[in-house]
Amino acid sequence: MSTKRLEMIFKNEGGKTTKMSVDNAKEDISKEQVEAAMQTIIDKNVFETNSGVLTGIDSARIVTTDIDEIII
Amino acid sequence: MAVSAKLGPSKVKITFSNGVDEKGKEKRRSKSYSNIKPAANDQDIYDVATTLIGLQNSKALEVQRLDEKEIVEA
Repeated sequence: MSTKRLEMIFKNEGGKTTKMSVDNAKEDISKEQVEAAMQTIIDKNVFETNSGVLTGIDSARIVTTDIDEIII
Repeated sequence: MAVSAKLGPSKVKITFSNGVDEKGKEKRRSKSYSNIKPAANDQDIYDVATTLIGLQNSKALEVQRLDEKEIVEA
């Protein structure tokens, strides 16, 4: 069994980055979908970290974890 | 003694369905996102939650806004 986690990394006002992750991400997610979602999150402007609000997209990645159950 | 309240950072908590257990009861999984501005309006928070939900597979059951208030002596 494998699970996918989407990690979205935003630039913030303080010149640092803020990571937001989504567990159980869709398998077939496209770059455009992730970009659109990140832009919506930036535009809605509801987050404020210690380094200020989110200002732009830095990067995004899918982290896949393989799990082999040995004893259940 | 008089106190005043300072609004802390809020959070949004999204609860997802995580399948059913052997008794047929729905299992739940939740994910919280912190650093929400206390002044943010509910609609914007809900829109962000919907956006995050749209990126993943499970069915979302509820979106909760968790506000915190620190009370200090004035």
